[in-house]
Amino acid sequence: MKFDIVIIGGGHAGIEAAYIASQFKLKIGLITMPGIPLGSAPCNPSVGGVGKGQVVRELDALGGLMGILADHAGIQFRTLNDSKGFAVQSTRVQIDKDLYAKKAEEIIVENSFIKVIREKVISIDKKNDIFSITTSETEYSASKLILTVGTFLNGKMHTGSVQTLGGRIGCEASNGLDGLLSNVKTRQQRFKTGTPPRLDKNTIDYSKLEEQPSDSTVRNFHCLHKPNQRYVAQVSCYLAKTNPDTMGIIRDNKEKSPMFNGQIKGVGARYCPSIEDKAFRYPDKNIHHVFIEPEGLDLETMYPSGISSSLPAEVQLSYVRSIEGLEKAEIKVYGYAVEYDVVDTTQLNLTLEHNELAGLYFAGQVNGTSGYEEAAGQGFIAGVNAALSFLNLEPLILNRHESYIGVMIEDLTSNLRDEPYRLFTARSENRLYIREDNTLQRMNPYRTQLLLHEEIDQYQVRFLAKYKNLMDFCDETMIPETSELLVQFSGPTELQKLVRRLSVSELLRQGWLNPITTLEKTLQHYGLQVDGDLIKTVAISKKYDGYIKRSEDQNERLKKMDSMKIDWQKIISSGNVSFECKQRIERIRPETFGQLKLIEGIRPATLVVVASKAL
Amino acid sequence: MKFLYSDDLIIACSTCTQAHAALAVIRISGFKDLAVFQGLFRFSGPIEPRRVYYTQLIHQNEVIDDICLTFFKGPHSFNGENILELSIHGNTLNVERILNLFIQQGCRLASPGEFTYRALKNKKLSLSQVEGLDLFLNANSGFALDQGLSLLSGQLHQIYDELYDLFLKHKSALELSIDFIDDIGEETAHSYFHSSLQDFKKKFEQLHRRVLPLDINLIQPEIVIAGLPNSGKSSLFNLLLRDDRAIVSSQAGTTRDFLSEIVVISGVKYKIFDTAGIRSSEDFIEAEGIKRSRAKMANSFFKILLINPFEMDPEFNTFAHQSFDAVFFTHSDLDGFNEARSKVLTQYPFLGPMGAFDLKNFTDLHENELFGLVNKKYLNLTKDKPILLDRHKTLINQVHLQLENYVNLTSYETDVAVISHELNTLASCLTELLGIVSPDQVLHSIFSNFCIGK
Repeated sequence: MKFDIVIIGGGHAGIEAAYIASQFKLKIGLITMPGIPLGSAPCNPSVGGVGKGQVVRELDALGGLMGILADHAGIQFRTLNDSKGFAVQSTRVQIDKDLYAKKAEEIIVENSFIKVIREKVISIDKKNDIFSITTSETEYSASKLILTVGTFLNGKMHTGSVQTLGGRIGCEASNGLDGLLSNVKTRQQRFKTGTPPRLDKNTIDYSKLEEQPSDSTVRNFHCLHKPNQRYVAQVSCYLAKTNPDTMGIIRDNKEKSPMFNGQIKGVGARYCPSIEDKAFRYPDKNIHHVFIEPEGLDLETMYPSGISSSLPAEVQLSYVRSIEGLEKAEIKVYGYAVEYDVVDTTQLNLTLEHNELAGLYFAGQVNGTSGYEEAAGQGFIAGVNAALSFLNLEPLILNRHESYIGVMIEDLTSNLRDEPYRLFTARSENRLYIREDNTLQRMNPYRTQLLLHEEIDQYQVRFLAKYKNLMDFCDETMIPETSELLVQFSGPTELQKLVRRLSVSELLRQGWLNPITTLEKTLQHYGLQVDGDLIKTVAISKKYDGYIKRSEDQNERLKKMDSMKIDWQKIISSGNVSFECKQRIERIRPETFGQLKLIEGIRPATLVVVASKAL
Repeated sequence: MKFLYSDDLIIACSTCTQAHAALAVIRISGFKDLAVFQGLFRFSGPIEPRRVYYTQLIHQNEVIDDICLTFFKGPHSFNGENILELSIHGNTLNVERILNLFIQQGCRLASPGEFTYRALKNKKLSLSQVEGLDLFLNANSGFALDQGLSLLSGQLHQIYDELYDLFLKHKSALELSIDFIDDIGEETAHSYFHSSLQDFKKKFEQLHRRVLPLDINLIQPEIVIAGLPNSGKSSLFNLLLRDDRAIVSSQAGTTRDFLSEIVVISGVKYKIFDTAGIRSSEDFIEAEGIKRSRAKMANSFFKILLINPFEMDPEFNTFAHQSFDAVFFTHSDLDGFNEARSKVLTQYPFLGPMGAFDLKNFTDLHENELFGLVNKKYLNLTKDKPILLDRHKTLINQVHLQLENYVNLTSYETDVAVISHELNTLASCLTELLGIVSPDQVLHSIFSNFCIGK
């Protein structure tokens, strides 16, 4: 069978790639391992989080799938960093894993442009610009091929000394995709990830744990969904804590841990340590948070976030039961670690297409990232660009100054990482602008570039027109000094007395006022009815206006400096660059200062010397 | 600045070329292989690095000079390149002839600082070390010499490195409270944020205290003699130099521009200036001289005001509004001096050290009194090891202002994103001093100091 685009892998990257490509009405084949549902969540049962919430909303505005699925399966909603300022607030939704996968199946399988093929891929080849994919059953061909194979490239699982081949518990292994892929460089160092044991939810004493209920005011991800509508019943998460006994049990069993006895050689992420990591790297610390999260309304398991482990089963049970509230807990599925091969992402360009093998794209965990959101973001970029390339249209490249997806793609392709990559807001230089509330303003120009006409496109046009009106209203409406509004908004100190005529925009910038409630009350005062999303984004945009202008100037300067041409050969020939760093520069061959800066291990002093044009 | 990109063979005489001397040292840098020069030396065996060879320089079968040569093989040379160092006889003609000989072999005369620049380029010296070298080579006092050496050996850099680490820790603390609050908890994040800021601030303020106002130039300290026309400025200038350099006449307005000479006081070289007397002049050239005098006055190290109490003028008001390091009354030998002086002092009450003398009977005692004041000020200003280089002074002052703003902001702002925005502004200020702080370094610092992750 012949396809325009074939995607191998039905995880979060794969379904996102298929979903966006289908909007171009192309013929898409999605090949996935038999037995794994589409969009399944093998690790933590949540979507979003600091920085990641922004990614989900960016995807949603670009026409992605993740937000829709998360809303439908959302069983607990929270805004993280609630008290810390609008720019760093992010949405996180606990999902019902079953419902999430069911909704994904429903949307993808029913899509008339996507054919879901549940077969095991044996080999891949490329002849005359056409890819041929041989599966256990038959053979397919495609003009573009996207690989989203997650941890399945030579995956190997560990629980204690028991080792199994495969990328996920209960799934077959997909060994070395030979043939064409022998031309794709993988990192020499394999990566490792892990997952905690799953607890029987009926064996936990919740009265001993701190409850974290769902927040009914959190806005849904998908822009067309009613802001606070919930599709399923809401439940709570719980907070437990490890104690000296817990950590003692782990420390006593060091020689049984594949991570510490040399059995596992892959590199795990430092931000996602196993409980063994915590025990041995921080010997003085015995109290660690363990979030007990439901995996689904009808599922019998709870996910204890924070104690991922590859220790033998009996040790896992013993340390779990040392935790208050979990004394009688039963383990349904034991934790394990998995090692897998990772593609060298510096061979990919900003569309995630391979530099030398045209038409071949990589997205998701196979690129060395961790997290469903990171995978989905890449899946989208690979999917949309494969489609655009098939149609001979300009590629879609998100700027790092405007989106977290852009930050991630640039980081990945310009730099070889030493550990699995996760998004942090710290990775962005433009945090005040890359917010959840203004996602539509940021993403609409990109979405428009796709020339698609779906319901969300019409919604965005209407929303942005209203946004402009309200922004203008704030600039143009002057509040007279006699207005009772100003008395109401004056602060307690002398400096905070509002005694002169000022515009609504100026009012919203006053440091002691919450811009959202201030704008709400002002609009009420003028008898205007405006919806909540609009008020929120206008109020926050006005609040940050001055800062953002300043940071735009700074970014402008930065961009100028970043685009400065450099001579990488000269840099490596100058004695004082470390050997490792030299190798990286040689591989990446940075042409600009910006690219050089992103290379890991470059010394600050080197950068300053280069920046001062001394080289 | 073409030399920034060139890797030519460069040559220069590294010792004084202005006068004949017993020896001169010539340096050649940037050659790939010593063989290109070997025909020029009588010694024909292999030349090992870091050994001194006594040989003859030969050109067209004639001996040019008896020399000692040393080969420093890159990267183990002061600038990282292959360097050939020749000790030759110091006659200036000989030096010139030998330089020309090598220029014929493809060398180019080095631009000033080019050897050192290559050391910077090859990371043999940091920017601060280069600045230190410059200070060291051109120092006018033992103190400047010391600071040059300390920069050269990277001591100041060590302080910068420590500051860099403290800044990184603070930035990590802020990021910790945004991206990892679930892992670390509000309380720990809060206390770490504030303690890391205090640590950075404390260390930075120590550095900032070593920055004197920009207008005090300790690298080339200047002494200025000011006063109304005919108050005796040029006479004093000559007396101090024991020389008749300034033209002295009793006609007012003789010194039309300023004159300068070097005077050494307690081992420190000062430039001493005789300025044009300040008065409203019809004469264009004199007016220009006066303008330049005023500018000179503004940024000199030590200001002396001379007053002839018998010849006061409304123009004197301009002096009354300035501060002087010493005020001297001249013409103390004339009758009615004490009355005249009292009259001036009632109208213009000066603070600080004051004295009186008669320029016709100026003695060592008077000179010691004056120089003692200069030396006292110098010792006072240098006792806390002030930073001498303007680039560093300016940067440290900028960071200081930005840091004050930032600390102030953190006392009331609750929006972490705004705080982090301001911290980035501070970071860009710090960059030139300390180097660039990248997100990866911040994350690395977080991961290596805190237990993060679920």
